[in-house]
Amino acid sequence: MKRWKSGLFNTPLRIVIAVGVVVFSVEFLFMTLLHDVIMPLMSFTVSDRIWSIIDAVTLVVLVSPVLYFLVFIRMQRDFAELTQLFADLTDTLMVGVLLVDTDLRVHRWNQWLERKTGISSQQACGKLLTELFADLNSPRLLSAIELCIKHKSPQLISQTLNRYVLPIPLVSPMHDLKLMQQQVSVAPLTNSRGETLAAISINDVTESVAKSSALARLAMKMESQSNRDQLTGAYNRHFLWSWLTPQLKQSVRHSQALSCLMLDIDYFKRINDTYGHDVGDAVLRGFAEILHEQMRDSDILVRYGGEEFVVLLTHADAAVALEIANRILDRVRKTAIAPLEAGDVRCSIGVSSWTPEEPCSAEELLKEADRCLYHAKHNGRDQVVIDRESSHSLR
Amino acid sequence: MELDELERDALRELANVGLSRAATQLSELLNDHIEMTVPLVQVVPYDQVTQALQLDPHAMVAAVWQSFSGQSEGTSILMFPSEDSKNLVRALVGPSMLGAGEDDLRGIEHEAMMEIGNIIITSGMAVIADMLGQEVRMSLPGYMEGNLPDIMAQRSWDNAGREMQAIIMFTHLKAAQREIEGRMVMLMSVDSVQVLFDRLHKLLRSL
Repeated sequence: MKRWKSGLFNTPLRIVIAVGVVVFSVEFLFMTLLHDVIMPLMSFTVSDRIWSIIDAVTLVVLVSPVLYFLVFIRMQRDFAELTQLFADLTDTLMVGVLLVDTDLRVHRWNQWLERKTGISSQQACGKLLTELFADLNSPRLLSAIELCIKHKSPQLISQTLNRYVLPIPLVSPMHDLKLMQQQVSVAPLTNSRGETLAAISINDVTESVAKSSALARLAMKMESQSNRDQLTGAYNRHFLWSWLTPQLKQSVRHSQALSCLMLDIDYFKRINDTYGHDVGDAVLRGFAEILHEQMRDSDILVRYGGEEFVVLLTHADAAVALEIANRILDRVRKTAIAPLEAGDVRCSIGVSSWTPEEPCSAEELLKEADRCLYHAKHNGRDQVVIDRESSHSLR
Repeated sequence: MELDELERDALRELANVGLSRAATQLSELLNDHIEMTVPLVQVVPYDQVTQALQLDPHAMVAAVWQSFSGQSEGTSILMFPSEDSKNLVRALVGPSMLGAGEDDLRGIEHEAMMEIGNIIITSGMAVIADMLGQEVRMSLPGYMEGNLPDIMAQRSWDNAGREMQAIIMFTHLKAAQREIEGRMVMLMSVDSVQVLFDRLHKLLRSL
C-alpha cells in the first residue's frame, strides 16, 4: 500500500492528467487502427456524423473502467488505512482486547495483552485460547463467548462473581493476590462474510480490589481494636480485661478495695419482642445513661453482653458497692425510658468485691458477680444480691 | 392482538426452556443450585405495562436492561424487588463482601445483579429471537434502581414513537433457600410481536 502514498496518483490533478493521457492515447491508437487499417481493409466509409458518435461511445467505454479502477484503488487504500488505524487504535487502549471465534481461536491480540501476558501478537494469533492458557478455568468465559456469538448478546463478566477470567500472573504480587483481577466484557463482532467473532475486553482491576480488601482488613482491625460499644458508648469486653488486670495489681499495691456490679435488664427480650428493636436499643442507651450518672470518674462501665452490663468501682468495698447498687436499682425503677413509662424497666444486680483481706483473680471477681446476678434473677428479679464473703465483711 | 390459551401455554413453555438454560448457567457461576421458572406470560400494549406487571408502585425495584436492534428493535428489562435482589446477592457472594463499606457494597450488588440479569435476559431474548426467526443484536446491559413509575419513565423505552407491545414473563427464581418473584419485560414493535404470533400459530398447527 505504501507505493500509492508517494507515487503517481497522490494528488487529484495528477490523477486527472494521468487519466487524460491514458484515455487519449488509447483512443488515438484505437481510432488510428480503425480509420487507417480496419476500414480501408474492409473498404467501408461512413459519414462524419457517425464518426462523432463512435468517438463519444469509445470515449465512454474506455474512460469508465479507468475511472472505476481508480476509484477502486482509492477505496482499497482508504480501507486498508482505516483497518490499520483501528488495529493501531486497539494498541493504544489501556485495556486488553482480543478477538476469538467459536473454536476459541485468537484473531487479534493487542499490545496491552502482549505486555501483561508476555505473549506476542504473533504467538497468539491463530492459536486456541486453551493453548495459550493451559490453566484456563473459567466456565463463565467459555459460556459467555458461546452466548455472545450464538445470541449476539454482549456479556459482562464481573469481578464480583468471577475471580479470575484469564489466568494472568501479576509481575509484582499485590498483598495476597497473585493473579490479575479482571472485569471483562464479551461483545459480538460480525465480519463481511457473516462470521461472528467475540471481542473480549479486559480491564485490570487488581489495584482497586487490593485497595478495597486492604481497607476492609483495616476496618475490621479497627473494629476489634476499638474499646467502645457503638450503641451505648460503654466500654466493651475487650477493654474490660485490659483494664481490670493492671487495676487489680494496683489494688494489691495500695491495699485498696475494688468492687464489681453485674447488671441485667429484666425481661429485656419481652421488651424487644413487644416494642421492637428500636425501643430495645433506646432502653439499652437509657439504662447505660442511668448507670453513668451513679458512677464516679474513676469507675468504668462495660457492656458485657446483649443486655448485660458490668460496673467496676474503684476504691469501693462491699458496703459502698451495695449502696451504689441499690441506688441504681432505685433510679432504674423511677426513670421513664422513652417510650416506656417509669417502672417498666427493671434490673437485677449481682455484687462482688475484691479486698486485700479476701483477694481473688479478675476472672473470679466477675464469676462471683455473675453468680450473685443469677441468684437475683432466680429470687424474682428486680433486686440486688451480694456474695457471701462480702456480706460477712459488712457485719 | 390476542393469544389464545394454547398459544400462551406454548410461549410459556418456550420461556421455561430458555430460562432453565439461564438457571444452569447461573448455578455454575454462583456455585449454588438455582431454579428458574416462568409461571405466566402476558402480552399487553405498551401503555398497560405498568399495570400488568402487578408490582407495588412504591416499592423499590432493581432493573437490568439491554436494548436490542436488528429486524426487531426494542428493550428487554428484568426487574426484581430491590430488597430481594440485595438479599440474594448478599447470600450468594456474602463471604467476599465481609468488611466492605456501604458504597462498596452497593457497587458489588450492582455489578453482580448486572451480570446475573445479563445471563437471564440473554436466555429470554434467545427464545424470542428463535421464535421470530431473526437475528437480534443486544446492547451491553445497564442497571438502575427506583420505583416502577420511575423506571418506566427514566428512559423512553418506546422506540421513536412507534406503537409498542410488551411481552411480560413472570419469573420465579429459587436460589440460596430464597424465592424471588421477578418480571422480564420485552418491549418491541407491534409488527415484531405480530411476526412472533404468526410463527407461534404455524408452530402449533404443525404439531
